[in-house]
Order: sequence, then C-alpha cells, then structure tokens
Amino acid sequence: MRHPPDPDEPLEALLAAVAAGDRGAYARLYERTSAKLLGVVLRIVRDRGMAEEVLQEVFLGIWRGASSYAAEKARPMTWMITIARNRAIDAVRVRREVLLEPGEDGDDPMAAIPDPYDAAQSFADRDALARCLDLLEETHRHCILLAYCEGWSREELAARTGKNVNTIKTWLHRGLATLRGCLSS
Amino acid sequence: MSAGTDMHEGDDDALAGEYVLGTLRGDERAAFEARLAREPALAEAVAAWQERLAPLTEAVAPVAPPADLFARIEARLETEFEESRPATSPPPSPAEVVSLDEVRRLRRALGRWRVAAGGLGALAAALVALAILFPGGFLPPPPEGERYVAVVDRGGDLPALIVQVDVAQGLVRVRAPAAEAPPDRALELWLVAEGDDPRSLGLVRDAADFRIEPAVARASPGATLAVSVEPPGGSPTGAPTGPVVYTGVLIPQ
Repeated sequence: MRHPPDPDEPLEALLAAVAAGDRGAYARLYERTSAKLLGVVLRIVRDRGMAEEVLQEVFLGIWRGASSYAAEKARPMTWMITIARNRAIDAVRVRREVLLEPGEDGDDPMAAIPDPYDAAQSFADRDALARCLDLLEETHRHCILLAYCEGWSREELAARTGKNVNTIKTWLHRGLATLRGCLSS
Repeated sequence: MSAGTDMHEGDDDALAGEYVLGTLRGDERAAFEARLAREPALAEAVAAWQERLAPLTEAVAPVAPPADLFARIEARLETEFEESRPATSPPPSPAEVVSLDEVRRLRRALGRWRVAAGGLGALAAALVALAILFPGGFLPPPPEGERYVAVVDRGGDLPALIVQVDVAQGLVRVRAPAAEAPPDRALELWLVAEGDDPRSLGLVRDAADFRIEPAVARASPGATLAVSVEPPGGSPTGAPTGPVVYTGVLIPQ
C-alpha cells in the first residue's frame, strides 16, 4: 500500500479527505477503524457473516456521509460508531423478533441476561461514565448496557426480565436521568 | 407553567437518550427523527448522548475483518457510487427528473413540507433518514383516514418517491421522480408498521401501483416506508436484505 496507516493522522483529516472523494484516505480510514467497528457490530448482530455484511454497509455509509460529518458536533469515532450501531440494530431488528418467541425464559429471567458491565468497567475504570454507571440500580444499568452494547429493544428487555414494556421504559429513563445528572456534576 | 416545561425538557432528553440507546423504534423513532430535523436543541441532546455513551464501546474488543472485505467494499463503491461522490452529489438535474411538474403540484397541494437536509451530520448519514414536517391545521383534517401520502427521500432537494395510499381502494401508488437503482439491483418498497415485520409492497419503478389489503393500509398511518436495495426481482427472503436507502413517514393527505 502506498500510504500505510499513520496512527498520528487525525481521523478528522481522513474523513475530510474522504468527503472530497479521496480513495486513499478511505483505505487508511478503513485500516484504522474497521476492526473496532466490526467488534461493535458483531456484539449486536452476533453472527460473523452478518456482521461482515453490516460492516460493508457501514463503510458505504461513511463514504456516502463523510461530507456531512461535522467535526464540531461529534468526534470522528463517535460518528462512525453511531453509523455502525444503527446499521447493526437495523440488521437484527427482524431476526430478534423471531428469536424472542415465548418459551425460552427460565425461572429466573434476570439470570439469563449477560452482564456486559464487567468488561466495560475493566476498560473504563478511570472513566466518569463507569463511575456514574455504578450509581444506577442494577436493573437499570443492565437494561442501558444491553440496549447500547447489544442492541436490545424495550420488548426484548421486557421479555427477558419478565417486566412489561412500560416498566422497561421507566427504568431506561430513570437510568439515563441519573447518568446525565452524574456526568454533568 | 414552568414545571410543565421542565418536565417536557426532561422527557425530550430521555427520548434523545433512548434514541441513542436504540430502544426508540418504529413509529416513535420516525416521529422523533421528524422532530430532529427541525429542532436543533433535540439534535444537540442526541449528540450529547452519543458522546456520553460512546466510551462504552471502548470495552468492545476489535475484531479483524477478513482480508478481502475492503476489496468487496470498493467493488460496491464502483457500482453504487460510480457517478456520485460525496463532495459532488447534486440532486438530479430537472432534465433527468421524470415528473417534476407532478412533484411541484403535489408539493403545492400538500402545503409546506420540509425535508431533512444534510445538516444533521452524523444522523443524516447514519440513518439516511428523512423527516417530513406537515404543519397540522394547514389542511382540513384527514377524512377518516382515506388517503395518505409519504415523501420518501434521503435528504436531497427532490423526493425520491412519492407514495400515496388510498385506504378505501387498498391502492398504493408510487411515483419515482428521482429514485435510482444501482446497476443490477432493484429497489424494493417496504411498509414498516409498529410491531410488525416489514411488509414488501413491491419493486419501485418510475410509476407503479400496488394492490394491498385495505386493512393493511388502514392500520398504517404513521408507518414508515422504506426502500432497500435488493437483488433483481426483489428480496429473496421476504425481508429486506440490502441497505435501506430511502425512508419516509406516511401522513394524512
């Protein structure tokens, strides 16, 4: 490759070049971010083949949308992760409804929920977000993390917790309000 | 009533948070996106939640894609964007638009709508979303849900599709002044109603009528219409398999 990835090349600059149609910059952007984005997508879709398909869509979306990326509004990685999460959630929306047919719930619905929190914490110990997540009630934290990290819908969270959708909505709203208050203090 | 105002802002922030979490779906998501297009404060709330929650992805381990994946992406770039680069992607010139007069006529008839342009940055790109604003009260109230219209777009000046639903006749009429299918691909129109799987309405051509059950149309106000890129002949699975390139919301005509 004529232009090997340079870890110091700002992603903002790469996106600006991509917006101008620079395919070399696009390749470097892919080198720098594709593994992370595939990880994010795979966590939601949980199928390697489907995740790779979604990743293609993500990068086509990045090419298509680079000219509307506004550096003052979002960090580049946040912007790309948003694209990746949205595409991944779109991809699983139909499939999940099928998977969540009744009959697979055990005696303790909460026990069926994987806890993504441990991994998040180990990575972000110093991070304010991790500290603030600690303030949340466990159920609220579970729901927020499963929704964000794994693309769970309110209905899925309701099915797995044995609660109704309105309760889940209340939990999410309370958890978010607590997070926001904590992060802004 | 200041308490009410505060409550309202709190609700909006919770909605923005849920939008970013991904738990706002279906009609709620479409309605929220429609508001995003015209309410900068809401867009700021969304951006703030994106930044707040993004550190959660730091815990996600990178996964190396297969070596040939980028080549596959580049190949698709060649076919899907060969004539439009991000920096120079103007809407089709009027000469290329099949029925611009028709668009203008409908535009006048419907009063003022606004199309979400590229100003939303990340959101516009990520969601390829369109919001149509339809000021209530400008037109007479909908006649018991007889006819609905959706303008389906991805943010250009011109709608890609105009979709009219006549409930009484169970007829969906599609006009496509500016929709372009990539070579060797078809565009398929989907009706996405709350709590329902996407239902294919058929393949998009310049002008096409689809028959659907009146009951479906009756249940569909507020539903989202989406257009996905599919293999020739349409989705082999009965569900969207390709990227969604246009979306719009069904509103009373």
